[in-house]
Amino acid sequence: MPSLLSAPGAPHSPLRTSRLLHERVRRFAELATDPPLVRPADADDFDTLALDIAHFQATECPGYARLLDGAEQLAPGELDRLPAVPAEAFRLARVAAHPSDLDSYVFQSSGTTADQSARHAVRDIGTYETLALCLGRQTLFRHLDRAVVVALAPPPGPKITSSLTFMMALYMREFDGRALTASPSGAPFSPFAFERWLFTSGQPDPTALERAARVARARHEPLVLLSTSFALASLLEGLDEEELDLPKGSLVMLTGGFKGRKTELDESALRRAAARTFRIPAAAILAEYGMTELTSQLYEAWSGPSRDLPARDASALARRPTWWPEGGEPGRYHCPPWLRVSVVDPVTHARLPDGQVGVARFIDLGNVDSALCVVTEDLARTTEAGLELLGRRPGAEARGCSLPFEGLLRGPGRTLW
Amino acid sequence: MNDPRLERLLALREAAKRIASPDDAAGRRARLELLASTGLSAEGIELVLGECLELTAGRAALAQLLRRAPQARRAHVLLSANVFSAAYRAIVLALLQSEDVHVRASRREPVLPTLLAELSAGAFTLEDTLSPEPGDHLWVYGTKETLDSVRGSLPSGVHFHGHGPGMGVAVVVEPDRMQDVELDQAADGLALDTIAFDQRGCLSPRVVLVQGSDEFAADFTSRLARALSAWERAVPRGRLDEAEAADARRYEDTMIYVGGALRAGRGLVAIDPVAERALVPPVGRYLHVTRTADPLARLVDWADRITCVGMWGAPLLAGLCETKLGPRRYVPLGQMQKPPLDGPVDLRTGFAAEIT
Repeated sequence: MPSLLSAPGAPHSPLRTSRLLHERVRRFAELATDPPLVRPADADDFDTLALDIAHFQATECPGYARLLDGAEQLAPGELDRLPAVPAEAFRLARVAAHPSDLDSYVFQSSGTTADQSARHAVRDIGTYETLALCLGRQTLFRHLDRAVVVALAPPPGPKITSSLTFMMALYMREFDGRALTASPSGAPFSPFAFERWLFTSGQPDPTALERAARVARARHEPLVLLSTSFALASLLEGLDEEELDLPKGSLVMLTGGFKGRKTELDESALRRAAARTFRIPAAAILAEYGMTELTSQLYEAWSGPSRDLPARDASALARRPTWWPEGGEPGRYHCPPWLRVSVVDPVTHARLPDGQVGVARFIDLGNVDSALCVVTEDLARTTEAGLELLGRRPGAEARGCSLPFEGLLRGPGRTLW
Repeated sequence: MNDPRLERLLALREAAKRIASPDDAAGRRARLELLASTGLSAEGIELVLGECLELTAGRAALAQLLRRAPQARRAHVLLSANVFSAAYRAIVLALLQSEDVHVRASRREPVLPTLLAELSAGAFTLEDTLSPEPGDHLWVYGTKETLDSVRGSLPSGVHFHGHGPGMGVAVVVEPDRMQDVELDQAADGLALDTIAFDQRGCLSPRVVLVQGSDEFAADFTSRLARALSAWERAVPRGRLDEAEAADARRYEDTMIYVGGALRAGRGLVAIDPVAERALVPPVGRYLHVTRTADPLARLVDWADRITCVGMWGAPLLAGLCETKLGPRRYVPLGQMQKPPLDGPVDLRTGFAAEIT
């Protein structure tokens, strides 16, 4: 047993412990999102819950136990010293506290330059759903009761293997939930419906987007377009400055960069082009940041003055959570209460002060069964306006004739687990 | 033979000998300045000056090389950093070609070329900027980006010798019966190959292919870690720059999580739990051990990156590699950083040039 963390009480079976931790994380998020007038006495605080999850992972994941070996015991308030699992580990090993036969999903990264994509095994998808919806309601869908939701992404196969695709399908179900027709009553909803996924045969389908916009107009609802930066750039390029009007109040969720893609486009130029093409304000484009290795996401805050719709009732207004910023800047990201990010020195992993560039280190309560604390190679800096992401840290540039530290060499037999 | 190029080559060799000698004022100055510029420890610098400068080639060997090298009116050399002793061979190659040699040192590693220029009585000219003209030969050492950038900036008709990055791979094959002493010697030799230049050279071993049982692979990995730890005491690792240190931290944490990592001095040896898979680990005395059923196939897979293969327990492998991979340095463990002065270190391109 690693000495880093104190045991959280009587021993349970790993599965039971995991279930209890998942319940606590979901409750933590729900209480944060929809706070009761009186906070329950047994409500968790972030640090205690994080330490309990870390203890669970140290017990059930030999890899994490090795990382903790020799580390000092931590108390709440000392999470900056919690050893982090490099995101790279998700490419090279199974990062999970449970056996693979309990996987409900295995999310994989795509579009990376390495031969082997990262894989994140998920046992309890309910926690992913709860966290994504709690955050979605505070961010992208903060002002919407209902909308037509479509994705500029390839249609998922029978088993979703991308966390982004899963989130897109979840948003479709939760914030739309109707067939994509002008009069949907009676028609069954399916997140797998082909017409909702507007990137087919490797190409964006502007005709399908026009159709979705017509449906939204007929319903007098806005349209929410979920898209990767690459797909959106591809769509705009295909439209060649031709306008494609979206209904009033429509929104675009933008995510991901151009990892592994040949096209490079400045993101602010992409936003301007999208706003012009869809005839929406630039402020109606909101960026999300997620990664396969995390369960939780980050979002920008809406720019400009508060976009909050009038609260439905005074009680709801009083209970509105205050943790999400009322206004923000493009390119500055914020975490929900169940996710913490710090910018750390890539060598010592010591937290850096605001304004200094380091790598992003996450403590994600959603990662109950994988790695609570993940350090990435993404350069970032924290500012008063939020987290600024600056791209991937370049490795040590070979000073001449040695090869740089790099990813996997090709070879057969690369089955990991 | 009264070839003025040979006289210049001999003058250069004498300069290098003085630099290599700890008793010569030039040698003492070199050690001081290299300590500041290279990041290597004092012992690491001593190791390179004593073991890796190719000073044994005599007049006859140099004369033979003169006949092999393509001749040029003028030759230029753009040096890289990393392996400070490589400047000597690079200048030798240019002097083989021409009486008129112009060298631009790396800003990060100017010590050896500067001293060689001072001590060799004008064997070559040190320049801030190179201006190759059509018909000239230009030797460029560096990253792929550097090669591409330089190549793209040249006038047409320049003979461009581009030498890009590469790595060494060690191959160890399980013997029929365990031979403790020999295995320890092999591990020691590989450790020596690794510590030279703190692994920043294009011949430096980065990946170790082990063919044999899992027990043998684990055993050899342990021997290797012990050997590297022992060498750490004799020749401590120098400092890593910030980016190197960050790569090192990432690799260490990753492999500790993945499993199979053993501390080895200030570096690490990691045996990959998945056979046939390898990472190129960071520089700074890190070795990635890969179990394989077919080392030749893996070498062929990675052939474009490999400059040198160190071998133990595979007497037929060198011949097979020569056929399948083409010209590379195929040597016993312990000899990977000691290529004879027989032409360019990197035999992938050798003396060949492309004409821009």
